[in-house]
Amino acid sequence: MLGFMDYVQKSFYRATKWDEDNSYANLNATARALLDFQTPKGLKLNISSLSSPNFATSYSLASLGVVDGSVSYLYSSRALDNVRNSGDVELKDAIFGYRDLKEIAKPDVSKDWEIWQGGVRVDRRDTLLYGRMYLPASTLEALYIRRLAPTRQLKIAAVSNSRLPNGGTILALLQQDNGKYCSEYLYSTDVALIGIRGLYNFGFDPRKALPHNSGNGGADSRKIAGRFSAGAELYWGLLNKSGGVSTGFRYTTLPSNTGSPLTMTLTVNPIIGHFQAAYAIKAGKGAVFCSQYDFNIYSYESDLVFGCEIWRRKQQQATKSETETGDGWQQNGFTTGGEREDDVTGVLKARITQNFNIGLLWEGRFKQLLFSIGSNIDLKRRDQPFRTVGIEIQYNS
Amino acid sequence: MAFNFNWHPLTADPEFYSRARDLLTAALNKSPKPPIIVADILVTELNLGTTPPDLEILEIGDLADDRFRGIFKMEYSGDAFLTLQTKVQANPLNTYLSTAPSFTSPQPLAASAPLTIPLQITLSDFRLSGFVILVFSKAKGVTLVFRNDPLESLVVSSTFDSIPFIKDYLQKEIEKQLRNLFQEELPAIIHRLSLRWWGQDYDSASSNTLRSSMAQNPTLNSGPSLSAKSSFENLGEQVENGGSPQQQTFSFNTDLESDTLSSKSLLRLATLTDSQRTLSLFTPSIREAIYRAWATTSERSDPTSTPSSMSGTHSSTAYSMDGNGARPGLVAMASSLSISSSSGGLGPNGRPVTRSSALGKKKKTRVVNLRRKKDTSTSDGDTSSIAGSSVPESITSSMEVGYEEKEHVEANEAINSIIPEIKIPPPSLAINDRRGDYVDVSPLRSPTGRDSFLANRTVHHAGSDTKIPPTPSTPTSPPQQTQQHILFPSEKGMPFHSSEYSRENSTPASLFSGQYSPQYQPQQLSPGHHSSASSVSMENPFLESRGRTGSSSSIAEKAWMMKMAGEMARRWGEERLRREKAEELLDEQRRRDGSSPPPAYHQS
Repeated sequence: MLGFMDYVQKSFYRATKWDEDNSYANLNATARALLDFQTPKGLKLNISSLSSPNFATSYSLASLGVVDGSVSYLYSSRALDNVRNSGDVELKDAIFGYRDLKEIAKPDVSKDWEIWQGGVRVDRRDTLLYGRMYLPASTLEALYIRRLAPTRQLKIAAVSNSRLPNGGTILALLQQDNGKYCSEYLYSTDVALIGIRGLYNFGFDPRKALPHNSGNGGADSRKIAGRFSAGAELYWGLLNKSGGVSTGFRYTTLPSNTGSPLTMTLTVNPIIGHFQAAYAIKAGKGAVFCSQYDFNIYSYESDLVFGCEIWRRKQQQATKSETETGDGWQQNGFTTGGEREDDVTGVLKARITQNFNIGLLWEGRFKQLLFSIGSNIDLKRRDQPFRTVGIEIQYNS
Repeated sequence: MAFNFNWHPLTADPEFYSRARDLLTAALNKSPKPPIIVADILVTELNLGTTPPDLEILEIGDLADDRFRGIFKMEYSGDAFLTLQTKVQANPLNTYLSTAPSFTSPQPLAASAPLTIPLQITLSDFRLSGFVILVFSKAKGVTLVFRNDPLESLVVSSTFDSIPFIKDYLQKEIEKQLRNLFQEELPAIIHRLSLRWWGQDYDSASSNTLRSSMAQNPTLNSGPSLSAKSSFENLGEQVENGGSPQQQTFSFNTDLESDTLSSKSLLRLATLTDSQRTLSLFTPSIREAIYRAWATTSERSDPTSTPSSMSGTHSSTAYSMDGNGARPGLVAMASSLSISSSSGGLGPNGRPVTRSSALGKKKKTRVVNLRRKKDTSTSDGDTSSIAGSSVPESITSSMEVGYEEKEHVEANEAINSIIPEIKIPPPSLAINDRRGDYVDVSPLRSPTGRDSFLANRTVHHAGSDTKIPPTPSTPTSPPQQTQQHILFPSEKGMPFHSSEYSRENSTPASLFSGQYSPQYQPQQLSPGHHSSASSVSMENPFLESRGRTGSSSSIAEKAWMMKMAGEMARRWGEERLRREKAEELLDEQRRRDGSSPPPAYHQS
């Protein structure tokens, strides 16, 4: 389940038309959401509020043996009207799940962002400021996001903690998203890490295709039925003189695809000799299945993970929707993205590894509360199979 | 002096390596490992090699059979080797990210993919040179500390020898870790290993202490008041006689037989020292302790030269008694007691006695009873011989002698005057008595045996008491009766002892008797008597006794003596205070009891 602040941050991206998924770092977001989800531990309470469209506060209290908590504040220069409280938010926005990638949107022209008033340009770059203090741990997190341009975003994240070397770290990330390709440059103060990563989308180029798009829809729909992307990343730590390289590929269907939506990713780390292949398919309206295979050609270590995600909908709505589907197929397709999302009452996520380590997570909404209940089960330890059990409750207003 | 370092026995023990490996593995995994190590570190091979380190003794601070403290200069260039096995994370980005906070993580997609590589590291060709501080104690195990960084060089060979960069890195890292290991972990490991070796002793020792404490309680009342001095002197005898002490003796003897002092014996020593602080007459059953005490007393405090701590304390009590002179009887009692003790070789015993406080008390009570009984019973025969001498003086002198008191001059004088008389009678008697006592230990279980024992004691007493005519001189006199009354509580206490003793002895008695072979005892005893009788002669007999005991366990004795001496000196001050308290108590008791005039004096 997304924390409220993450949700607000996403809302900020949406409000500023920043495509988070068009990044090499999120190449395998679907597989991560389905297989690497975090199960809550202990009891965690979140109370959050968007007191004004520009200002959000959140308090969290966690009890896992010891009680700790955090206080966070967020300021956005752009009024976030798209943030909804916990009773109204669509679960697909509040829960990481299968990423239904949209067609690449043509980035705004910088000229469109200009606002002139009386011969003076008065527009300002949208900015998000976020701070979070973990109380007993005395850890401070800070985030600064600034939309420098329609295709550019600067993100600076910092952590301050006395236990960290040098008292903390700062990560600066400059992202350039042209739709067709995306490049990111990052620098971390920790080991003076320099990183470059890029993602290239083959095929359809929104910038050039724009004129055709409106023209002949038939050809375009065929083109955008799926998208193949390739990317690479390179890191080098100046201080520890070590680095890392990886490259990755992804094929995903787009909403216009008539078949079952699916996503395939392959990432390769040539230095380490690590291959990771993931395949996720959305079977039906409310079920996603995913498998991921890891293999290392040097150590012959392998790992296999299966996961699934089942969306549970209200029974009445389901019957109603079925009648609707009976009425007309196209209408059903229409409503899929819209109202039907409200029918979702919960999402069950499950994963199992080849070590028979099972993760279960049930996320849903109870009245005005968002909750997630999870457990980690290790079947190999018969005496104590439940490794972690937890519940997280969130109330946003 | 010579030291014998056994290197091969260490390596010959097949279990040693497994244990050492386990401990080493535990130690290596205890501290948080660097993130690059992703699995437990296993010590797969450990070999100390055949070449022992060269040790040069720089200083020996403390030396005993069960304790040792010294500083060595150690040089090692042997063929020991150590093989470690673990898994390392080969992707540096992964290790970096695992330590970095997730909030600022660059979140690489696959560049941080893990790659764990099994790693085998062999450390060999150690070159060590450093100063080692070795502290050994049976009870506390071995503590070994490096005063400096001992590691000069070593050879690290690993799976990655073909890659020079990694090899250098490993070499550097491991040297760093090893330095840490030598200075912090190794001492802990060795300590734990040593504790395991001697761990069993611990348990038994603890149980013993419990028992002894149990035994002590009943006797506490009467004994101490009568004679603090005598108590410690007597303690040795009493211990022998008494049941509770036997246990200790028994265990101690077993230890001695094995020629090693265990934590049990240390505990006994502790009780001895405790007894010094208190009035308890009880001496733990450490025969060697007796000898040692003699030796120490003779060494230290030939009464004239240096007041032994014990003697000092005792003397104080004795003085108080004298000062109270109003009750000569009590003094006489005390003196007689002291004498008896001295005759029993108490003078030397005194120190050991002091150590076992609680036990000592019991013993004291017993002693008191015995003596009084002796006095009463034996007084007829023995007293006659003694009666002639001026009681008070003789008493005081005897007291002093026995205690090795401060007032050496007086004591000496008195002793000198008295000694000749005393000397002659005690040895034979004493021998007999002691034999009786020791031998009787087993018989003690049965009341008859006890009686006989008591009788023997009394006789012995008489022998020793010849000096102290007062008590024996007039057994029938009312004062004695009063004394007897006083004694009664102790007597009551006696049965307890006997019962306890019998209980305890039921098993250990045989051992005890075995330990105290009649041969040893007479010899020891005879010297003891001499010592008590004449301060001058004391040294030699003690020495003799030592030597003889030494045959059985000379090392143990030495150790005891050393330890005893040190502890005695330490606790000298404490003892004094306690003695004073004890004196007060004694005075009170005297007053209570005092209603009846002191018998001995009157008689004399």
